[in-house]
Amino acid sequence: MRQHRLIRHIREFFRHRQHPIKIIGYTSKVLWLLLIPIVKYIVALRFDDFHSWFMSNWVDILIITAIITIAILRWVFVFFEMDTKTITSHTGYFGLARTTLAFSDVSTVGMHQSSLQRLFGACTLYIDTTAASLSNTEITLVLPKKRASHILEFIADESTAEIKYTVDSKKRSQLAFSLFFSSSMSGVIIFAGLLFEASRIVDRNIEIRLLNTAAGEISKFTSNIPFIIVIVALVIIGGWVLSFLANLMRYWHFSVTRQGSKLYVKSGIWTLRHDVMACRCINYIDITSSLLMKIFKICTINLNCAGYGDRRAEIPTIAPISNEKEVEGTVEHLLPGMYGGQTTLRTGRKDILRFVGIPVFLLLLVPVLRAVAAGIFPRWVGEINVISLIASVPFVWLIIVKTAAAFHTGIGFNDTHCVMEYCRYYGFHRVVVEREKITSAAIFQSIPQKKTGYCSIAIYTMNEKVKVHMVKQLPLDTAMSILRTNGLAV
Amino acid sequence: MRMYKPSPLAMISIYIFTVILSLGLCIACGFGAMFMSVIFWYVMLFIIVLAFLILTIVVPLFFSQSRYSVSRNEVICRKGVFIFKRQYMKISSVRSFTAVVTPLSGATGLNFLVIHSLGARMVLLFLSRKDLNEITSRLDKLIRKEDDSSYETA
Repeated sequence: MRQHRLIRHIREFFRHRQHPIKIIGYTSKVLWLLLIPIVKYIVALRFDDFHSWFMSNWVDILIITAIITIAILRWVFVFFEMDTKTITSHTGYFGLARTTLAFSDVSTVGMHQSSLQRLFGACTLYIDTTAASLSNTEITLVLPKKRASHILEFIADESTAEIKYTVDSKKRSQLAFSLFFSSSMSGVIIFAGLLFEASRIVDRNIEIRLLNTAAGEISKFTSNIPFIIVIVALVIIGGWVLSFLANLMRYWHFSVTRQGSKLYVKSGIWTLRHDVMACRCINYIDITSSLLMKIFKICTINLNCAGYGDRRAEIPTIAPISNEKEVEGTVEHLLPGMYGGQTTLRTGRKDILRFVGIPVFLLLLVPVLRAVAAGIFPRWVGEINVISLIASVPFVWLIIVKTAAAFHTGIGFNDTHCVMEYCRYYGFHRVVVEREKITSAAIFQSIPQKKTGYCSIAIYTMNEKVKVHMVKQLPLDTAMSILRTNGLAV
Repeated sequence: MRMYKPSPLAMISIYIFTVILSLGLCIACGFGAMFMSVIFWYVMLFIIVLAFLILTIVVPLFFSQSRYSVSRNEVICRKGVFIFKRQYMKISSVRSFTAVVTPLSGATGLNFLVIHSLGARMVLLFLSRKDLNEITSRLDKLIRKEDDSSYETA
């Protein structure tokens, strides 16, 4: 009887704890630095002379023991409790921080399982609310897959018998999405992150040696091209390929389902993602495209919901690639009533000059800077010419994008929604937001705009952080009147 | 609806602060030019031009153009120097506000009010302490949904 009680207590203890794999997460990164030489010594001694091994490494062994003990203690103190209405997690050192949230307030629940976690049957559970004071995920727990699924089903109320509407993304679309949304910058960030993490675990000299060897190999094949240009080109191309692969793995097998008032999104190969969103917590939808996508008449449908797509390098999409004709149908299926309204105040051909002014100025700045740089570094004229040529390409592209933006900018209101079309950097956005989710509005006027009677409208929407949608180059009088008639008395 | 303007005391404080700071920097540059490098004369010239621009254009323009108004339903803020901004915020969307009161702010007018809502923020700069107290007490009442009819009558 007593034995049964003990087993019950042990089971109860583990039921409220995270997966034991989390102990590794709680250990310091330094652990590996200490562990590798110690293991190396004992292997060298062929496990024979334990005494001398212990005597020569006792400080390291003590530190490792302390690190593991602290990690186990942290694991023991971090636990969670659940009842029918709330979930409470005790986190931090000695479980001192207690976070309680009601299931009715949950905006997003996410269950993400990396390949490593899959080996141990663990996964990470993210629970988010719309609370503005906490921009990060409110509750993050590493749990056994079964328990995490149970909690996700419980919070998401998956037992509901309502009709399911599922939009499966085609493989071709996922490939196109990864192509369009890959950027060299994000790839470089991933690569830099990998290098940084690697340098924390292994010796930094190995990293430097590796980079030097790579540079040496490259220089054999590219003796005619300046070395700096080769490096820049490799960083850009390599970064882009890395970003493309990361996106492909993240959004492969993408599907989204609406059932009742919840949206279920599943995706990923390397890391399996399953997110559940409450539709009432969706602040706005954002139909995004680049100029190339506009030419091919395709776009991606993103949305803003606290906790969805917040983590590093994630895009909060519900339809990775959609034909412009299918957008309305997709949105109506997934978020009924959200695709409403037309823009009533628009810019057009007469406004092109206003849109391209800044990019033209930036483009003209390139030869000026080139001349200055060539004057200061006369030895590097060849490299400077190539760099200035490369630098002018984005500005030329920006001029083309902004010319197109003159035809895709506008704002409009109907009884329930506000629709905004605008171009931000190189991306085109069509944002649909419920009027009650607009928290603030502003009108900006620069000195040239003040002279010509034009302005930019800024619409602030509900969000965890400050979020502004800027519709530029609109006539001031009409913009003011449209805002005033819609209760935004600027 | 009540209208508020930045405190003239804040304008004087900024003038005094700018003059003292630029004088200090000029003296330091003077020493630098005499004992280290001639380039410090150019730095000093730059500081003088910058201080002159701040004192004659930026500060007067900012103080003459800034207006804040608070009513039962909205807060409106107009401010700016080179980029003019008119921002409107619904009282119903205000979640919290932060009043920043600096030491001796009764004499310097260096009081600030940051109004937070979900997804937006409004900053009211250089309020006098009386205005700041008045706005915060009004906002407090409005957030608590207490009746404050003095708004409409004022």
